[in-house]
Amino acid sequence: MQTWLHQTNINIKVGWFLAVREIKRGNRWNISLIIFVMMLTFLNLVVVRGILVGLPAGVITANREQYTGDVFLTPLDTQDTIQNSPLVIDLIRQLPTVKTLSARYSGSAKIEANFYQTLQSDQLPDVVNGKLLGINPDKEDSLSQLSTYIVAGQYLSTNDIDQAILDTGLLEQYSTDNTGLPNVHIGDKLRLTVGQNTRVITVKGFLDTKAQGFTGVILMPDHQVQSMLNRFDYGINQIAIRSVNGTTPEQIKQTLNANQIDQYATIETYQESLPSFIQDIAATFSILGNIIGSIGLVVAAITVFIVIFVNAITRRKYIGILKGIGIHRAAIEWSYIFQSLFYATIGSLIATIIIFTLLIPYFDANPLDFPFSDGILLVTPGGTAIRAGLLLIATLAAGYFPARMVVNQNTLDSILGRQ
Amino acid sequence: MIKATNLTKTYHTGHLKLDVLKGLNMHVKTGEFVAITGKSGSGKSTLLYQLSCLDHPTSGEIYIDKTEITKLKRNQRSLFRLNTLGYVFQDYALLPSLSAIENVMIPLLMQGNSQEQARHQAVQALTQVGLADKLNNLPSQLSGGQQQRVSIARAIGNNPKVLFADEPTANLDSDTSLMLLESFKQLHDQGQTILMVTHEDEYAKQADRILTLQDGVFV
Repeated sequence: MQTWLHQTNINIKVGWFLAVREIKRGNRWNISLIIFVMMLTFLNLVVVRGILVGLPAGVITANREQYTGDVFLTPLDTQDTIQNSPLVIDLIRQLPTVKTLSARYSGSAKIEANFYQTLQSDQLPDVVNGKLLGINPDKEDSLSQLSTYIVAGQYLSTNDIDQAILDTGLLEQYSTDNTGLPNVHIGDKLRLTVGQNTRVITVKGFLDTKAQGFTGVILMPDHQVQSMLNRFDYGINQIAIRSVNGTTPEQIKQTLNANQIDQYATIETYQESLPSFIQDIAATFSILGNIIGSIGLVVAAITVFIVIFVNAITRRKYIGILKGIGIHRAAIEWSYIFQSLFYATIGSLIATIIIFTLLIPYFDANPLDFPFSDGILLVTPGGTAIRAGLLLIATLAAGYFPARMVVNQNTLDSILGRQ
Repeated sequence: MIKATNLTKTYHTGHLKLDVLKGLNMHVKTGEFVAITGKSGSGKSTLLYQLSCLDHPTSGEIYIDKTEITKLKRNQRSLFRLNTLGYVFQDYALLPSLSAIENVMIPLLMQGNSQEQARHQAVQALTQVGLADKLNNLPSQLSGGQQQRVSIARAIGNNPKVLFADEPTANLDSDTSLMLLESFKQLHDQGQTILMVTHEDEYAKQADRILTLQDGVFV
């Protein structure tokens, strides 16, 4: 055992000695090209997966930041509204771990545009169905920065009467398939029908967010929506809670449960409140990302295999000479392993620097604009380190086997160039 | 030092059978300088490969310093070449990415010497062959004769019991060849056992004894 360890130690030292000099004095262009290929491979491994898993992550992030907050309360299954809403809101506001909350009324609504025009007998009125949301504009903006998503007109203010903000999903001029209300502009009058109540409202602004919960909404101040929905008990439909820094959504949920608020409302963290299809998409994209990453890993391994094989086969004679003068074959194999690891390590390092100093900041500032989310590049240091480790392992194997194939060839045949 | 008994080597190429060495017997004493000559295709290099553990004879026995090398396993043969033999190849056989001193250090490192020890011994060997001022030169920066001398330094760096040289002057001009043979003579004078293959009778005469091969047998 000791002899084996001693011999292995020598083999590694000699392998290292050979590898360092081979790299230092090798052709710079060849080495640069190999490192470039490794860098691209690592970028493929990390970035493609990062964008794929970033898409559902973008949806989840948008939902959390713009709609549900960290914790989301909705009515119990058997109820239409959150029971004892004013009490619940007061209780939540008193919790020190709660930074802000937004209570929303919600109801189905019908909205008509151009209703004042005389219609021909064969014309249909411009009507769409939407979701009416009553919000406290200031508190909502504090939670979700909703005012930053106004793309035309102005955001609501608390004292607005008969003013509304429409989601761009309701409007034909923002659609790609000519659906929605046509010819609606800021300042136009629309007819809003909620149950038996009808009001003429003025369009104050257009809203465009990626949060699914705001798709197709008509936003108005809460006091007016409460009246239109006949919520005489002030029964709220949604409460979105933002926690203070350092408090997890699970902690908030536990606190709410401890205060028995679960008797009045369904309490969910932002993740629990996600529609199941989004969770399914996130899981699917994660699998896709892993598959694509695995393919990238295989490609990287094949690349290294080919590079090392070509390198070794063109140096077959020198390998034979080394064996001829008594250098152990394992020492020669180690030298190729070290060279492979060098290429993979430097390539990964350069790619990692590019990812964290260029790509992530770029995608944060310029997310990919998908209809359902902002595509972000989701890369974590831990995940990157794992992928670097996988690449190194793949490279180690890919460098070892071709070297072994060539080293195992007959020594004399290698020296003399015989097949 | 070297004893070969009934040595044969046969190559099979498809249906063809080629007997290159036909039952050779030879003996080389310690400290002897022996030249093996013969025409091209006589089996000189083949004989050298068998004696130097680079190849395996078809039949026969070879003893080097009481070790029957024909019975050694692959890793044992490699170790034997490292610790006991030195080899000078026809075309210098230096590693292009290693400097002169690094080429000489490699087998010394493989023997388990530290880098400092290996370097010290390599400097001594290169000094012995007159290349003390070319330690850090790459092979591409050396002449043919200098490269061959580095090859000799590498071969003698580990103080081998036997030095094998396969056509060491083949790629050198006559002046350089004579200089090289002078190096061999100096080593011989210091007690080195040398077995040299050459097709040049003039160079063979520098040896203590000449063995001539013809059609696989000594004449």
